[in-house]
Amino acid sequence: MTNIMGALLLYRNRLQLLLLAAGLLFILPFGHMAVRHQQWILFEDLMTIWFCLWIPLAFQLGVMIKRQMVSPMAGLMPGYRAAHIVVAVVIWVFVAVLISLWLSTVPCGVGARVKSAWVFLCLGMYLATIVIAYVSERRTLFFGYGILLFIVGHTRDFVHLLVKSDPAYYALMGLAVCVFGCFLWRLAVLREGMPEFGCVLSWPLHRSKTSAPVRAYIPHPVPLFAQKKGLMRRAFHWAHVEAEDIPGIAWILVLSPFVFAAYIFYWAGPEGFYAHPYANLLVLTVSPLAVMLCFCYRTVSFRDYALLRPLRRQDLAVQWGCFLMVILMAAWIFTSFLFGVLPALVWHMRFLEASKFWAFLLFTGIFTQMTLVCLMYVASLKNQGMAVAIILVYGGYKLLEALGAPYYDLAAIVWHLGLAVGVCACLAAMTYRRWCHEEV
Amino acid sequence: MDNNARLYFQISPASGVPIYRQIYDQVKIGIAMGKFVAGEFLPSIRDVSKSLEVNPMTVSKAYSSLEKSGIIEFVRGQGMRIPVKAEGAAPVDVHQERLTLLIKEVINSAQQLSLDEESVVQKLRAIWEDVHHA
Amino acid sequence: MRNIIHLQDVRKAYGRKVILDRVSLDVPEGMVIGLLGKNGAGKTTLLKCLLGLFKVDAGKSLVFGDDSWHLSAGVKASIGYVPQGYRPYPWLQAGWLIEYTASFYPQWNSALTAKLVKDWGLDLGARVDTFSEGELQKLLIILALGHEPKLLVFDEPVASLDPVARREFLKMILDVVSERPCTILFSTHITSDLERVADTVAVLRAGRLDLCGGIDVLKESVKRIRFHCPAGVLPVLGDEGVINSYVSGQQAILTVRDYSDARRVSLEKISGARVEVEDLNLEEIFLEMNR
Repeated sequence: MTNIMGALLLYRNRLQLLLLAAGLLFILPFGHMAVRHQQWILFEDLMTIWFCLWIPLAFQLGVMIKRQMVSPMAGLMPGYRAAHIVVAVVIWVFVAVLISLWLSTVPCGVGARVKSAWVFLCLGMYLATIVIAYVSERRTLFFGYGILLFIVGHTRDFVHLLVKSDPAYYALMGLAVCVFGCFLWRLAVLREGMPEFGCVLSWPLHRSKTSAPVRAYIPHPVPLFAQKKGLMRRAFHWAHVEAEDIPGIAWILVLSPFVFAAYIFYWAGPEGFYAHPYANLLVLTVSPLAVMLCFCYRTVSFRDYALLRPLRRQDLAVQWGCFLMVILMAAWIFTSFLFGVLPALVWHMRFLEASKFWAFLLFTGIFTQMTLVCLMYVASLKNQGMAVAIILVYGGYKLLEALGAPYYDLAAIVWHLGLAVGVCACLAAMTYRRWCHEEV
Repeated sequence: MDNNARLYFQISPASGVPIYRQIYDQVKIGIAMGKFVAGEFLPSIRDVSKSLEVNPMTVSKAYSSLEKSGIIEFVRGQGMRIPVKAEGAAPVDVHQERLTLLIKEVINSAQQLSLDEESVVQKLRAIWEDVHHA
Repeated sequence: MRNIIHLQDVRKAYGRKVILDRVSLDVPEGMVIGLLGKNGAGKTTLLKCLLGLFKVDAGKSLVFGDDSWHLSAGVKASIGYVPQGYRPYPWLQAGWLIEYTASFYPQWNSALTAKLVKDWGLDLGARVDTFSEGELQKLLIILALGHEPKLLVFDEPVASLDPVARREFLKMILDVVSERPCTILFSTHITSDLERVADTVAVLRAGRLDLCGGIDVLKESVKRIRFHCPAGVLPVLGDEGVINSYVSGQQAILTVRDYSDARRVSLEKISGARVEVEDLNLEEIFLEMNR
């Protein structure tokens, strides 16, 4: 067996990769059939699903190559880096080129290069996995979710943007190729002593496993748990412990103004701020945060062996719950100010007097809370429950959109509030009961 | 052959006495006490290292210092042998040396207990009598 | 004999924290050297600097004559390394992990790995993430031995092994050493293992190589001396070569670094007291040095 075959072997029984790849392959013949029968709408839908599958696959491939390069063996096994990078490039080229070629032969509404641009966009995500600090396997889920929600709402706009503008297309392609090359070069020379090693390290997601040089620069928050009195203070204590994960949240905050700007200019404009409530950025930015919080709560319970603290299990469960709510509400207040109140202040002061505006903010808040509680419950069932939870939330949100449910008249507000309080109370109680019997 | 070396030597690695020294002493005493017969071959370095689970370099160091002191001899192609001629002079020497060591220990202990020479000699004589009669 | 490892004034610091401070070490071919040190003494960092996983801030680090940071493929093929707390690809089956590792080396002794797998009772069909710490350690050791390296570097190899497996590991090291010329460097804090297999010990203390030499030499030169002075007057003993001293009334205990029979005689003469000499094993020597 050659070392290239050896490196290829690593991809062999990665279940996630195989499932995603199988999904991609499964869609291809259907796409082909749709083209044969000139079902263009079906074809576009298939392509959307295909694209959605591509995002996690690109992330998984990124995580794979990262893992391979942070192994201590990368520096010691002869020919290790070269073999693994060659395999990563070959997989990429095989998939990208092959599929681009096939797409370019399909005579359909959108141009061939737009279709290949999708593939290159995925390459960009593949890279983001490695380039953005602290993007780990766990967070790919969260980022993937955000991008998924975002893209699905606006695929068509995005496609049109690319069709209309040559510079956008070439810039995207060029950028992707450049960053890819740059990233391969960095990986090829990566060693444990380098500061970026800790950022690239993807598993296991624990501070203790970050490389020593990086660890030396990160101060450890010393939890003074026993001295904190009162429920909210203790909840904030958890928030403080969780602050270690702040880089993940910080990235969202850094990126969000740009996304916001793009949103304002291309898709909504100040007038259309609440024209599409279910595809609104407020919803889109806060719900991924809820996903991440719920995903992280398990690490909270593991961290510092919280369960061994001098504290009743029930109290701890309540504190976890409060901590999650507090963080999420803070995030909601922040984002609704950033994406709602601030632009209204700048562009359209009259929005602030419209009851519809405030009803909309209230609606997003309710939606956020319901998302969180629903996620909390499903996440408490099983760790893998997160995937189910995302589908549930995503499905629910799509259902609301399909029904065209109103949100601004008084009856709707009362109905939403009542529903939210009822559902939240039920689910929170169920979650609490589960947490009290949770094995960690 | 593999476990033979265990019959010859008893090594305690955690002792303060270096392992090579333990082997050295045990060969020397073994010859004096007749455990090793003249003309007998010692187990090979490899066997000793394997069965006692100690570094072969250590065993080799012990053997070479034994050879240097003339206690054993190297026979090309066959290994380390207790020399035939050693029976005359060496054993007496070794006996004496061992006895000296033992008596030194006794004297040390006696000094700690603040006993004088007279009482030690008396005690020795008394025990000697006892053992002799029994 | 040529030096396999050559470290000269190696320095490594993270920010202001100095981990290794002017460490120099030469390891000739065929030596089995144990690296001893407290937790946080810099053992792992030293090994990683040596293997080019960390870049040294200053000084020189050579392995088989190659600079550690730029090891050639040939040199890499003759190094076997078992890192501490390393988990390989968790989704791979053990058998495939061996195949995978083998594919990177020009030569691979499948018979040896098969034998070790059988001796240690590893299940080749099991996924790596189902392995316990000890089993994983065994697997990593097997992976490091498969290409018959000329230099083996183990970072705390026996920490997670039970006594039986630990003894088997030592046996295996001895087998390797007696069958072909192989240099072995391992860090540990279990001194009894060192005493059996290592011929040389290097003691790291707070980033400095405090002591390096043959275990035999060490045991013969580091001794604890007890003085008893009935007259009640203890002479001034001086502190040349003294590691630790403890004086109380008529008694004194000294731990010296360079004991010899001549020194004993001279001490007896000077003090006029009774002198007893105690042998120290490696653990006691190590404790004395870190007291």
